[in-house]
Amino acid sequence: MRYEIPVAITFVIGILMILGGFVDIPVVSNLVSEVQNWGIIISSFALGVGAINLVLVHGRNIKTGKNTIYSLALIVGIAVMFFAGVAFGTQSSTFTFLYDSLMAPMGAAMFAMLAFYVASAAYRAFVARNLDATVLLVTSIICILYQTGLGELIHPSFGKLFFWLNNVPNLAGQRGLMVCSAIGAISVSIRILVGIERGYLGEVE
Amino acid sequence: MKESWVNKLQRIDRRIIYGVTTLAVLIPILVPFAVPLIVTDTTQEVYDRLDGLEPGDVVMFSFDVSAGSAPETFPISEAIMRHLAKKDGVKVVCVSFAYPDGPEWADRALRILAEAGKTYGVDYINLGFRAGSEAAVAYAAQDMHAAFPVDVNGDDIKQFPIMDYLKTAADIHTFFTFSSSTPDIYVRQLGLPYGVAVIPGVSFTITPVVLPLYDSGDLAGLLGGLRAAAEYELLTGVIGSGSGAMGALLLAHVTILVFLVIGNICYFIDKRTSREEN
Repeated sequence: MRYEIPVAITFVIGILMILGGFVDIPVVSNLVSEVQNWGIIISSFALGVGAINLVLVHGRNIKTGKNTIYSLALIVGIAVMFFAGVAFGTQSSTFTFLYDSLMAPMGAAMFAMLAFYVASAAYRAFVARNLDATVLLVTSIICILYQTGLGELIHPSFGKLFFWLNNVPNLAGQRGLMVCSAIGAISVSIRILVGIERGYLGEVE
Repeated sequence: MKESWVNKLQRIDRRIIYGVTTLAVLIPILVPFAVPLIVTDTTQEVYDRLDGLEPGDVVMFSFDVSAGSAPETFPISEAIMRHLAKKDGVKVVCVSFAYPDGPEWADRALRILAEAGKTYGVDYINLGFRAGSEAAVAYAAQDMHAAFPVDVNGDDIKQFPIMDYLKTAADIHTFFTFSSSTPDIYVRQLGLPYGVAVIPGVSFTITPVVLPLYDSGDLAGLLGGLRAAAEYELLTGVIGSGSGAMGALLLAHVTILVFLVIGNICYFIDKRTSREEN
């Protein structure tokens, strides 16, 4: 019964959601709407559970002395933002100050680190070793020239070359990928609906 | 055996590469310069669409940005907001379906409307973050008032006249999502069932992935990366953070290009030398 009941629930809800997409019957639409509302509530709880889990994992790290400083920084960060949000409100100047002065610059800094790694990788590893690498190299140079506006300085029609690359070879490849992943998603969904795929229930094959 | 200059260049200290990259980003920020751009058709298309908005039309923004991706996508939203600030009677509704950070960024963008004399609750509103991803979008599409009973400040939305213009997704004229991921959930839940014009403002690396949706007509427009923000600012005639950051983007990428060229020259010289020695 450990798996049968969840699989039965999944089947009923799954069929209901599929029906909701194809038929316009008020009873079905209302049920679908209700299930979606449950989904929102469960997702909100999942965010809370995620935060508790983070605190537990990093609390354990502090206890065992593993990466203590990082775990401590994370827990203090969560606590400060949580109390600022609860005590003063998320629209308060205190919360906004913390977000604008700490969270936003730190998040941007993490992303900005990529520039240094890309520069280093471009110098050391991105070489035209074979035909595949050469195609990738030439394409990336064209994309860089377009995105920075340098391409149009070289020739006013440079954008056409970029758009051809995007609209012909890229589009063909992307469409293939999209169709394949959609077929994959359908087959996985069917496997979940009929109870063949039970990984989401924690079952290890 | 004496080490050749090619080998020395190939084994250059990475701190030198990092230092040069830092300078390439810093110099244009300290000494800004204009980057000449040609406005592309995709940006012009979005501009023309918004320029044709009538009083009472609802434009919805989903700020699906995190602090990490915001420097590239947020300037797009600012440029559009500056355009909408010039339009009379257009209703702007901000939400967030991806990150709890979204409302913070929405507030920042909405300051442009406030500074233009628009009134909160009448001309614009921030409805905050709703967890649940695609399920939340589908639920909101059916009944906005049920999905967002209160705004970001916790005030009942019934007191805001702007919400009379927005009951379901069918009332949305144009929907923008600012994100570093693909907008497929909005195409599935808003574009296809309700005929909403969905336009993503995405980071440049995502544009090739989003292009099939634009090409098939599922998206009403596409704004990709900082360049799209700079182009939009050119059209509105108000220079903002998009154009300001283009200098840093240009010089950083030129640096990467130079590194690419040097790295490849060294690789080929080294390869030829090894072949001759053998």
